[in-house]
Amino acid sequence: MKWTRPPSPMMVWAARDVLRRPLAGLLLFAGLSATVALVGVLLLYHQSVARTCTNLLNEAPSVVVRRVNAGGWTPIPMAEGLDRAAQVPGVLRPRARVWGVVLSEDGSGLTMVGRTTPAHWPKTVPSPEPGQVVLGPGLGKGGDPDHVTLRGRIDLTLEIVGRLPVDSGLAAHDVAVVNEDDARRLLGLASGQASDLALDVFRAEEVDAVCRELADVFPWAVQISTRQSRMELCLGTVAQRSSIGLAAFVPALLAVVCLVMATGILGNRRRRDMGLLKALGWTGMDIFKMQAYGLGLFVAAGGGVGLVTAYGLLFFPGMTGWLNTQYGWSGPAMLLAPTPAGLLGAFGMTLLLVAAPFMVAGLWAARDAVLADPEDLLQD
Amino acid sequence: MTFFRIGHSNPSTRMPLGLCTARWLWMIVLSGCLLASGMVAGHYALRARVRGQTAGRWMKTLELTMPALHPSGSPLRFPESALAAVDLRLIPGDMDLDGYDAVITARLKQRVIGKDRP
Repeated sequence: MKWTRPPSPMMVWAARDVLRRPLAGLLLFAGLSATVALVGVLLLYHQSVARTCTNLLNEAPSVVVRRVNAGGWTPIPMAEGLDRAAQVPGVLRPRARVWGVVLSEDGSGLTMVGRTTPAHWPKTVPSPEPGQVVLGPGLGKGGDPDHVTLRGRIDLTLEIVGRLPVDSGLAAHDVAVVNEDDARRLLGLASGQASDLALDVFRAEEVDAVCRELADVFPWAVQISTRQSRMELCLGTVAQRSSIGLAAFVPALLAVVCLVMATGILGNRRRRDMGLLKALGWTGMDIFKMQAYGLGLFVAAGGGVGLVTAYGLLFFPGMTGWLNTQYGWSGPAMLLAPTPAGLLGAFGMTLLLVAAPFMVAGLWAARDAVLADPEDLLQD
Repeated sequence: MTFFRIGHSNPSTRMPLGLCTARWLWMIVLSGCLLASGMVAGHYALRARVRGQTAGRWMKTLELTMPALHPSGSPLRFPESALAAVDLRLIPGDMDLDGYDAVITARLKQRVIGKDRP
């Protein structure tokens, strides 16, 4: 159909047929779009959270080595640790991390990261010097806009010199970046000590063997965690939370059943109209086409509104606030990152689950009218 | 102009709205679908795609190990720090702390810690 030309006559007839019952049409449209939106959110939610986490975890260090003793975690001597880690074949870029969980002014925990490496720091955000801090997008709301006090081994009041961008929220929502020396003071670490070591491996397949060698190369007991184990934990948690949300599939499926039944009942009530059209010379195929176009109009309108609503509820800023309640966030709304394949898959599956039964029910209801004699239809 | 001829041959008198309205309904719905597709595609291309990259870059820059889905301090946020401390009440009376530390260290090496905890 060219845009400059009117739709085919049968499409216009179908639209006019829909407009003959505006209230029923409006209810059907509202029901269809709400059902599509609900199913779309359910399908998009899990895969977009899981995909976002997977993408972020792929940027994380392959292996983290923490020194432990009878009391649990203990600081690791930085120079010796890096030197020993570098001896293991297959280990790439061993680096020390100075980080920990400290308390903010209101008593809530936040992740404090000491900036140890000058590489990769973007020019748009100022690098924290001693006495300065850069806050994540979820921190520092409502308090002193210029200073923040962090409570670790000591209380340290720092000047806020910048904020991480809102788009960094899923990585650094409640992260405060401070200078390395300030981080050590807050954590009670001596100079030359680090919280743990992060490193990459040359081949991901070798990570188990590298971990065994790493455990042997250190003179202390160490706890080694791999990206793979973190990914399993993260995706397992996401799946667990999503499965709770999948309980909403029950009302969604009930809504689909109601829609299908309503479509069938409406179709059966129109047998006399179809008989009239047949008596005027319409063929069975004409009636079938009109019915299909009418249902297509509902699917296009309801499906379009429903899918955009589902996308908006998960990805449009300002509409994603409900996601915060899922994970106990405060501050700016969680911003998930969709993927084209995930979007297309979820949208396709949603239409298959909702629109396809709706179309089949409507066409099935018209089947009798298409095949029946006009006189029989007019007598109903 | 088949379009209008069919309209005038309509036998029904119950149709409250004209064919022109019906034609506009299609136009509105199809335009809405195009607009919605464009809005989603545009938002993805301009905002959402970059959004994932930005968070990933900060993940790498700050050397973070897990996404910030869970609050700080939760073992789900930093599973590498979730190893519980050993309960010191389990220290036998005739063993000094240094000796106990060596035993526990050896056990940790063998990754059997936790099995003998109550």
